[in-house]
Order: sequence, then structure tokens, then C-alpha cells
Amino acid sequence: MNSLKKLFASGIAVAFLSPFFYSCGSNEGTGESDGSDTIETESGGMTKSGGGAQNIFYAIPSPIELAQLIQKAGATYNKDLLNPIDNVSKYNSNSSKALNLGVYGADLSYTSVFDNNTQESILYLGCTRKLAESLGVGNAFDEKTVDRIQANTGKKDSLLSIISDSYMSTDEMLKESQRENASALVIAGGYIEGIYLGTQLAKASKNGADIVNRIAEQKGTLDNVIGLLSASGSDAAVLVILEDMKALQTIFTEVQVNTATAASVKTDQATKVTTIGGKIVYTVTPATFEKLTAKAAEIRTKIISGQN
Amino acid sequence: MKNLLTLTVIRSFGGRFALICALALLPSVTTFAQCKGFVKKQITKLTPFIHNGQVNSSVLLSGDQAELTLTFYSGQTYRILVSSQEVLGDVYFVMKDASRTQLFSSKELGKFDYWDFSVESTQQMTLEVIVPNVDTPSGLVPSGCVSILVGFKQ
Repeated sequence: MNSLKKLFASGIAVAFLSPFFYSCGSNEGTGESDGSDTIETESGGMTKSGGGAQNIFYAIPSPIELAQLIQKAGATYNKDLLNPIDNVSKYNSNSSKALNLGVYGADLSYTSVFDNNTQESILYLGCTRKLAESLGVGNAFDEKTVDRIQANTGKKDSLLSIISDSYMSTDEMLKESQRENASALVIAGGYIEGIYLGTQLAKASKNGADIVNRIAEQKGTLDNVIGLLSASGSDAAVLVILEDMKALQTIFTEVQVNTATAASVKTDQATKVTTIGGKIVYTVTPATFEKLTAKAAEIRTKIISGQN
Repeated sequence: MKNLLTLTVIRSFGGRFALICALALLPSVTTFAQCKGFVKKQITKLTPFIHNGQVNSSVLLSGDQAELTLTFYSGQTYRILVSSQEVLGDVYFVMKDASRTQLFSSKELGKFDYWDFSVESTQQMTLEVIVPNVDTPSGLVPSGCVSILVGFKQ
């Protein structure tokens, strides 16, 4: 019994004291860390480099951002492209719920950016809420969120900020409950929906060159999505979507990225905003764009039909 | 009765294994809790930018680095907000382009929370966050939460 007490006491001490403020180092201040010093990041990836652990975060632009850029590039609103709200009842597995939470989240971003009709946004908020609740992260899209959206009708910036708050809460709650794989699937679903909407809108647009260019710029982001999925575990659903993303990546390799002029850096002393200059050109042929459009549609169809 | 049941479970091999597993998991749980409250306090510093919805935070030790690669689009303005607990000292960050050429460093600026910038061409850039080495008389290595938040606006 005494030995059990000792084990428990020392275990508690190690468990509680080590992450707080100080960790005992064996390297006498050299900054070098051995395996015991490494800490897994919330995004899951980690490598060792130089004097300490190097934590890798795989960051993805918000679906709101892509929707804004595509709108600015001349796309017009077409609600028929969105995942029908009735589909929400099809999603039974956790992986399908997570992927389609991402899809509906991107659709919510799209309606909120393009359409001034808050009611449409609230319908899509209802879908995200239902899926979030069944994944155990319903607080991110609760009644308060609906009330805040209704109270901010017509104030687009406020609306987008509220939606971003919900994304962040979802991400935080999934990571808090050690579900990095679900977090990665939400992001992957949102990414595919963004590419799907962009490619479809480019096809429908009379002058879609600017939209096509914005899609070509998604090449690097896809690398991050793949990095995030790869780091989030070997869950079967993750591996399936990872394969799909790699197939899309193969097509994206045909997109040429060339630096025409080197980067320059200038800071406006009044606004304190730095401008990174330089010209980088993205080139995508019509044939490659056609393939990207078809592959994105294929992956998206699989996701929204609840096959994952 | 409850105490008796607990003791019986702990005395068994499975119980000891479960106890050890629970203890092993505690650091990651408390680590997240340590960062959770910290990140929430930082979000307001992104205003008037809209944050990108992702939580990038971790508990780092003196001498550690964190790295975040992200696509930044032309036509947008961004705010990078790097926050760290005081115990880590003057944490600084460096932004590099795709060819790893340094574009910005906050090293000489002391405690520097955020940086606003725009890009003329869409590109992938990498943010490196560096926790300086701190020598302490006790030989203890400081650790604390570091968060990286990204905001954007048109």
C-alpha cells in the first residue's frame, strides 16, 4: 500500500509539475533537448531541429477568405451549387459528419459573403449546428450564434466575424478532446467545397480568368491540407480522403508557379503595414483546369453523398 | 464501498496499467488547458482583422521553435499575432518566403506581438517562431504557451 502511495504521489507530481512553467532539463542550459523535452503539437506534427524541438503547424486559409477572393474576381451567386440542406440527415459516421461540417461551413461562408439574405445563412448555420452537435462540439454553433447573426443582419463584417468565431471554437473543441483527425477532416471538407465552388463558378462566368487564377493559387494550400491529414493519424477515413487529396495534388503539379521579380519589402511608416513586393505568376492550362474541375467535383460528390 | 472498489481495481494489473496510462495522459490534458485560456485572451488583439478560424498553439520549452506555413493572397491585408507567456522571455518571429529568404524579423524589436502586412503576389510563406535559450540558476528549463493567430481583411 505504501509503495502504491509513493507511485501515485510521484506520478501526480510528475504529471502536474512537468507541464507547468518549468521542466527539468538535463542539458544545463545549453538549450538542447532530448526526447523527453519534446511536446506534441496540437496540430500533431513535430520534428527535431537545432537546439530544441520544432513544432510544425499546418495552417489553411479560412473558407471565408476564398469566398471573398472569388467574389472579388467576378463570380456571381448561385445557391444551386451548395450542398442541399436536406442532405444533412445522410451523414451517419463521424468521418462523414466531420467532412460535411467542413462542406456546410464553406457553404455558410459562401452565402454569407455573396448573399445579403441572412435567412439563407441561417439555414446553412442550421446544418453546421446539427453536425457539430452530433460530433459533440455543438456549442460552437449554438443559439447564441444564431441570435448574434440575426442581430447583425446586413452587417457583413460582423457576420463573418461571428462565423469565424464558430470555426475557431469548433477547431479548439475538437483539439481539446484529442480529435485531431476530425479537425483535419473538417478542414479537408471545407477545402474541397471551396475548390468545387470556385471551379464551378469559373466555368459559369463569362470572364472566369481571374477566378481560375484564384483556384490555381490553391496549389500550396493543398500541400498543407495533405500535411495536416498525414499528421493527424492513420484513421481509415483520413486515409481515404488523403488518397483523394493526393490525386488532386497530382493534377495541381501541372500548375506552374514562377517568380518573375524577386521579393522586396517596404513598410509604410504611417500605417505600419509592410508590403511584400515581387511578382509571382501562376499558369494553368485549360486542360489542367478541366481536370481540376472534374476531380474536385468527383471528390465532393463522394463526400456529400455520405460515402466516407 | 466505492473506495474499496477503487482499491480493488488499482491492485489488479489492469488497474495499475490504467493508472499509469491516466498519469501519462495528464500532461497533455493540462498542457492544453494551459494554452486554452491563454489563446482566448489573445483573440481580441486581432481586431479589426477576421481570424482564420484555426487554433495554432503549443507549450514550448526554452530553445524550441515553431513553424507555420500558409498561403497569403494578393489583395488582402494580414495580421500575424504571436503571443507567448512571459516566462519564455522575448520570443521572436521571422517570416520567410518560399525560397527561405528572410523578409521580416521581430528579433530586434523586443516584445513584439503582431505584424501587419500585405503581399503583391499570392505566395506561400513560412513563419518561424523562436523561443530564446534562457539560462536559469536552478538549471530548470522554462516552458510556456505560444500561440500563433492569423487574421485577414480586404
